[in-house]
Amino acid sequence: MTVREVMQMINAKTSLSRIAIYLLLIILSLPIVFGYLWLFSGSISEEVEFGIVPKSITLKNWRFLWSEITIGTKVFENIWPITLNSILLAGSITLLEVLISLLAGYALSRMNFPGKDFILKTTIILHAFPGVALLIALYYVLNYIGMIDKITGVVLVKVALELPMATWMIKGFFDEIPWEIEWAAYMDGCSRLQAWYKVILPQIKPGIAAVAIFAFLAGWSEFIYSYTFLFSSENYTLAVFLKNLIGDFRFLDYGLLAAAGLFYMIPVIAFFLISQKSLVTIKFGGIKG
Amino acid sequence: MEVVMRDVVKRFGNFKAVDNLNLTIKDGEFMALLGPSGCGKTTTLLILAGLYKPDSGEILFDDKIVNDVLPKDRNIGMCFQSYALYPHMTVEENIAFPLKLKKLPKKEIEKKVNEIASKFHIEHLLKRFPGQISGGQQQRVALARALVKEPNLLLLDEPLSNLDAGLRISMRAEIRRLQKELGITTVFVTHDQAEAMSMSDRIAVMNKGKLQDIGTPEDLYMRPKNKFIAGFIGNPPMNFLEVGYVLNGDEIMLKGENFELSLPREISMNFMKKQNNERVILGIRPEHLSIGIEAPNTIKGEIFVVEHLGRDKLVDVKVGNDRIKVLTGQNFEGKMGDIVNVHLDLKNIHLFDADDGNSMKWAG
Amino acid sequence: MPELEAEICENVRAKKASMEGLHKFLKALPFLGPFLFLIILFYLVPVTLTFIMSLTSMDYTLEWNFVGLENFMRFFQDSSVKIVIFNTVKYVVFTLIINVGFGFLLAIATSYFIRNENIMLLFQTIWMLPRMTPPVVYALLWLWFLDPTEAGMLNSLLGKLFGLPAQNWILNHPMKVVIIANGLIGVSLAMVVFSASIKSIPPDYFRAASVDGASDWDIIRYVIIPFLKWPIMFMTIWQTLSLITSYEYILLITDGGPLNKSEVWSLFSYHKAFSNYEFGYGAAISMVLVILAVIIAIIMLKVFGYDAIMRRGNIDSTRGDADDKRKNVAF
Repeated sequence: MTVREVMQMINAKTSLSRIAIYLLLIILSLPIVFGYLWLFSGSISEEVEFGIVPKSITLKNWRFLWSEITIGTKVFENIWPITLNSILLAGSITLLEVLISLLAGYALSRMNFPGKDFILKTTIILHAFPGVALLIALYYVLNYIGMIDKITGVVLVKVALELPMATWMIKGFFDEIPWEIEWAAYMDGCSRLQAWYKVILPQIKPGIAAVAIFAFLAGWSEFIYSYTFLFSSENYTLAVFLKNLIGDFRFLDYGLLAAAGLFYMIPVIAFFLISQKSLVTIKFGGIKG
Repeated sequence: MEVVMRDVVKRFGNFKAVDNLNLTIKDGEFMALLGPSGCGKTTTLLILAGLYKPDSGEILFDDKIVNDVLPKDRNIGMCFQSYALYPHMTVEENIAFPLKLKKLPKKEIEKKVNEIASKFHIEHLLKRFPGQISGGQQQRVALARALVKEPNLLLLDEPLSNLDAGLRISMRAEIRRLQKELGITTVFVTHDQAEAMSMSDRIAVMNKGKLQDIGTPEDLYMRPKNKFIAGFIGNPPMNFLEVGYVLNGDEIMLKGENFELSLPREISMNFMKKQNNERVILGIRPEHLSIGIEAPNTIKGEIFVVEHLGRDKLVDVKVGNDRIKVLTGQNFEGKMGDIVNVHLDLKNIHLFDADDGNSMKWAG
Repeated sequence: MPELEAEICENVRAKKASMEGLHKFLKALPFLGPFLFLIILFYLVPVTLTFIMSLTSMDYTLEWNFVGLENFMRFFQDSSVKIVIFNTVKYVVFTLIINVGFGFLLAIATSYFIRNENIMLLFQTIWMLPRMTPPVVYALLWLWFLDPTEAGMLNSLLGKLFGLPAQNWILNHPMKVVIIANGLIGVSLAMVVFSASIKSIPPDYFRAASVDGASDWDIIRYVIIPFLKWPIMFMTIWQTLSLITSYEYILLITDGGPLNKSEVWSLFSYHKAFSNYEFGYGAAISMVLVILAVIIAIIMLKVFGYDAIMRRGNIDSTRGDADDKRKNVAF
């Protein structure tokens, strides 16, 4: 019997309180749902009723995809190079983060060396320690190594700040693999390298995928470092672009902002759709045993 | 292949997991490493495998020192307690894996896999994944994988302990038969004395990293070298009573709290002499005790509980502050609280030094 | 002299062990190298630099003019500091209440009362949205929601339902806006952690409670809350740590304004550095935060241990017995 079934048994008579709970949940969740509904309907209509009901559908709000946006004499950057920047930023962050955390996670999980405990403890403190508190010093460091106003610089900073957590996650996945399996690989004739890519890596594939997805989303959503460390408009990312757009169009054209926001949200939405689907498959897979 | 371990020491920090171990495993022999958990038996196995390096001492395979030979080059088959099958490979891929690493031609791999699969009756499972087959089947797959490359040495780390009781007994016989059939030198680690007794040619008993004794199952059972082995081997275990030792001419007198035993001359002379009034441990197996009428050289006690074992009854008798177990026939009628007289088969008693636990029997 | 001999032996062994240690470390270095490099460059160096900078009057020229403790003196005389500290305390306390309180309510509602797995998933997903949304888009949603004209969701709703006049919410209630917006971000984290803890309660406890005739309230009070004690404590400390140093959302929604009405400590430091280009002064302000953050992190490590922090409060996990830690290979 699962917890759920037990609870069902217990709660059989308390349906009234259940209804109350549902109502409460719905009321509390409505504003959030409204916000995202507006983002959608606002992006495709001239005007919205009650905040979320689209009126007179238009594609005008999406004009930033095919033309330049102007306000007065100010001309905004074309969205595509900026999107490319964002993809580049998030992609490099993902690649570096996964690679470095795979290496370090393996060493921290599977190797014995002096100072390991110290590194593990420091990593935890760093993980709990938000990097934004160091923004000023980071600015100095980037400037010193000539990486200020460069996407590479932001990539390095972001990777470094996300590393403690990613490494720890990967270490956890390695820890889950019993030593016996690795030993068996050696007995079967593997060298250390062969054991690593033929036996160990295939088993933590889902873990690597999870770390990669989170790294990509974190890189994609990244705002504060891009905003602070990038000044040239050719290095802008979508986050900075949108922030500037909001600054100018806030009281003028919410439709445009909604469309741009939605455009920027595409990877996040994709993630939600995929993860929901995989959640469902896991559930159905569970029935099979 | 003959395996020799010479003065092998393995430390983990300050903890000596294996302490100066000397062991020779003859070609084709089935050797069990027996001991309680944490006694160093698995560490010993891993040293043989080459997964651990000894801190000092030598490992010889057929007179060649292999200390620095990597596990992959030792041609050893190993089977783990958890089976350690690769979850992302099918049964077939699991078994073929060692052969693939040896870069054997595909045809030959296929042939060998099919051969060994039919030997272990797992042909119908080849396309499945380890997660989709039962524990007993996983065990067979693990054995097949260990044996497919025709190793010179087979190492088994508690291979039966995750199986349920019935399967375990039938697998015992199967592994034993297979080992004799293939004639492969085998080292088998277990904490289950019955398993070790029933399967092996010889047993090496270990405790706290040290080799206690080594011998055939019968040797160890009949002539335990110390109290640890005496207590570890045999089920139900040997009874121990601390008694005072008095030498009266050629006869040994054993003085318990409320009993006295005098050992006749021909038995007394089997034991080394001690100082009078020294404490010694009297050991006797439950099957060498019986319950009968009052007589000299018996121990009086109160029945504490009677356990039914099916064929026999195990009677727990309270003697002073000690309890001794007596194996009786099915027809024993005693009840809880009855006062009984326990007879000892004096030919089968053991005496151990109270300090170091060594047997006082003359060796040989 | 056997003692001496033993001592020499011990020395030789220790020496051998330390050589071996170096050898092992060198073996691990190819794996750890990039990790250590980035951590040192972007964590340890900046922490040290923040400290040194706080003793200078560095500006946008990035020159080191040491001024001793002047920045700190100035800090205590700065008239806006009082309001900033007051705001920070208010921000942390109330945001925490929303985070932990709401997270707790949602966790109980979704993983105790709602029996349908899919509905539970739906609500949990909805509440995950704010956290997963890029900060800029999340801020945009708030700006639109609270827009001072009738185009704003809140104004239009209140106007249509109750005939209330439109008002400038952000101008009138900046702290409330900041607190609620940040509060909703943290809710999902607390919810997920608490839900996992509720699900890990052995069903026997619920069975026993129901046999004893416990009501829902009794079960929450006597079964669930005792189990959630540690996760709640953990969440409170964890969120305190991230709240005192985070300002991204505030920067995007109110930018600390109007005037200093929603300026918090960390944002204050940011503004000093990147709006006024007073890097030295900004570093001095964040130095206090850095010290505070390290202290809280160390306390957390001491109280909750490794795993809890890395898995965000999953405290009852028991992994890796002593035997397992020893396992390894020799080559």
